[in-house]
Amino acid sequence: MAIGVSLVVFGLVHLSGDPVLLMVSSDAPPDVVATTRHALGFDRPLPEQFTDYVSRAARGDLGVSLRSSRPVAGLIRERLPATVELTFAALLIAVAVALPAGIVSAVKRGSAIDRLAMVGAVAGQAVPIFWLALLLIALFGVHLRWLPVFGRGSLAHLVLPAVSLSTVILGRLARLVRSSMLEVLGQDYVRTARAKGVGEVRVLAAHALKNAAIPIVTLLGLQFAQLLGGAVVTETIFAWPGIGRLVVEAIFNRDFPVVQGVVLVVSLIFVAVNLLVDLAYAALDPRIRTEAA
Amino acid sequence: MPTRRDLFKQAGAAAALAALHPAAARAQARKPAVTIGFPSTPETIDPHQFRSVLSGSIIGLMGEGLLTRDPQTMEIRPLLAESVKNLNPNTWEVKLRKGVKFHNGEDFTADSVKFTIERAIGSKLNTLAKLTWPPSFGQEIVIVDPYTVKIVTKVPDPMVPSRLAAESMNMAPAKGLAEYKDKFVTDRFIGTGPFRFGEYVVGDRVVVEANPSYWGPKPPAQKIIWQVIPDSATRLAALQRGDVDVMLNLPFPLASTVESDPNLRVYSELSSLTHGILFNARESAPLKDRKVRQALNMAVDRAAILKGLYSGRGAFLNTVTGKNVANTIDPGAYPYDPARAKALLAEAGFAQGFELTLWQSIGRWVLAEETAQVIAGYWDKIGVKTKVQVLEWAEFNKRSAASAHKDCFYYAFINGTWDASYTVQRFKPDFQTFRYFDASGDLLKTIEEYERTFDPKRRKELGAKALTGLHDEAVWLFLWQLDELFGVSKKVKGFKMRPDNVLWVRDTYVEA
Repeated sequence: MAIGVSLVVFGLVHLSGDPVLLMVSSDAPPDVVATTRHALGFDRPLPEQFTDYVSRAARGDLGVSLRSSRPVAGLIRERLPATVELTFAALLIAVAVALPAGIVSAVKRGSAIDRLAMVGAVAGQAVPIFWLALLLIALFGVHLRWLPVFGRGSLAHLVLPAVSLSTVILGRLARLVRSSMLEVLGQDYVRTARAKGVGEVRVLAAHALKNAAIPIVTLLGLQFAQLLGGAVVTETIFAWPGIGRLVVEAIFNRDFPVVQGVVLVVSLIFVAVNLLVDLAYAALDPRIRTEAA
Repeated sequence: MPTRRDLFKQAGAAAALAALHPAAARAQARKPAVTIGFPSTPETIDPHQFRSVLSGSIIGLMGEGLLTRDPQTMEIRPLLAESVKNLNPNTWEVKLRKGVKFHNGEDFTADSVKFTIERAIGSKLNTLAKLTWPPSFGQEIVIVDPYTVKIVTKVPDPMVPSRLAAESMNMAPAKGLAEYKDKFVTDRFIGTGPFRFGEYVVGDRVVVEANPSYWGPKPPAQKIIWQVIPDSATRLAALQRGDVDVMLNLPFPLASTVESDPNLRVYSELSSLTHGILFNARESAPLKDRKVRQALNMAVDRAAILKGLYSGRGAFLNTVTGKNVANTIDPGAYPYDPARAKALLAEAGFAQGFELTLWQSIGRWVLAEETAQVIAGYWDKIGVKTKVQVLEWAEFNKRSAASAHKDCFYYAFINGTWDASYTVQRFKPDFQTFRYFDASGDLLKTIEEYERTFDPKRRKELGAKALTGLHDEAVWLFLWQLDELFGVSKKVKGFKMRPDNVLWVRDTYVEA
């Protein structure tokens, strides 16, 4: 898997042009260009460069940034915690808002609350993240001066980027919670529970939500990649020092080792998250556990 | 132990520098730090391997060269050299300032000069200095005594002082950087400057702190924080909130927002970047004719484009060098005269017009793609059917430098030595890159004599003659230099962009 990802990324970044031409000055004479290319090893055959990269990556050496000359693994280690913090904060906000909104919409189906929540959900999906981020900055940063507009540090720094990023999945999640709950609420065991006199809160939490959780957890796993993608935009707007910005700068500067390293690490995270989702299935649904056994 | 004479010299130097640093003399209530918001991480803090003027500005706070330039007039002034004397056309004698120490405590001596010039020009590193002072000039450093060096060049080079004053010539400590002579330096900086290295968080900030043992006048701010904020709207929001004191790269459309804020002001300076469309007069049949090139200049209403696209923020360029550069002149504009342009085309045998391809890069210069489209429209009107072709920057630049664009292309040049010769030499037939027009006859003789001439008065005459010749040949569609805009808090004092785009921040402070 990791080798496959590396191969695709290696191919794509090398197709996008010559990094040496971005490193040397615009009017550098050809001999300076050639010397720089040789010093960086870009004059070697591509298969040799790739094999060398993979063998070093297997030992945890992701190479050295062409632009900053710092080890790529170190750069990722420095930046990854910021992206993880932002992504999980956004995920938390999305779940905290989408879950109650979806449940209430399902329970009060057709009501004004339902319509309002679903209009909000569709709007959340439709609004471009950069536009929302700039609106939030203008309102809470400049006009009301409640929250800082760039950088990482305190909890206050996290609020605006996390709220902006959460909208990437919030709308879809709320709509899925609503439809899953509607499906489950129509089931016989829910009617039976209600007939037995079980309280509405317990019916929703213990009977309905647990059974509606499988598609929700699946969506969360799949949407995690979207959050990482959204982090690229969010981190750029809020000057959040994460790997999203690292990779954007690396792409613009054709800093191959950084692009390859970040994509490799993000792919591994994505695989790990999906593994967690699969494990969560077993925890949520005993039938899956039994079948697996 | 410094002698009394050394102390006098230091005092003299301090007084001379005080004239350059008026802010340092004022005692006022000040914030300890100045925060500057800028768009992208500096590529390196290596004293010799940076590429951008912005990185050079940050590094220039910590490092110093033998010579520097006056922030207002761009005149060359001594800095770590006491004097630079031309002994004969190939030899220069440099007397060094005594009593200067690097931030690591190492003495600045002739060894530092030899190490620096060998590292910047003679090493394997990809340095900027190799462009402003090509290794082919054969510069050799001979140590005469600890505070005197001789620079011997293979070819007579009147530009040596300009090359020594370039930002790429920061003096480095021979011992402190010994192991990094041929290697990248990633996160360290050891210079002699008024600020010393504080912190470099890639992608986030660079912090420099006042150097308490600086040999000259102390800077007014204790700390300068260069804060990376990629998005211009967020940078502006940070300025409005007072989180940053200065905002770099203020886009033209956001200037009015800054102007309407009572606490802020727009600071603007003419950029040294010269924009033009280079004609391939060596390969394109119609463009070989001077009349055609002149016609293409007369067909474009530059005033309308500058006003419409750039809010009028810029100045017209009428030759291949910008305003303020040493030995430049303004030979006057080609008038906007489409009728005369058509007549010139007819005289050249192209009454029916012809087809032309105009090459352009993506996202390299502000609004350049739009400019190319508008220019193509103007040329269409006189019968020159123009097709705009866009290329991604690296490929575009590769073709540009390799003289591979067949018809014409948009480009913008800096001037690395702040002398007209930097651009004029490109029209010699033996120049390695960007060869699109080969000077010949009297024009070539003028350019060659200009390169060899030491006498300042004669250089001025030759520079003017060469630039007028290149104007008359209409080697480019001469466009403009644009304003560089900054959003600045009204409490900020002493912030300046030097005419060569270097940010002069050592005198900057923020009133409390």
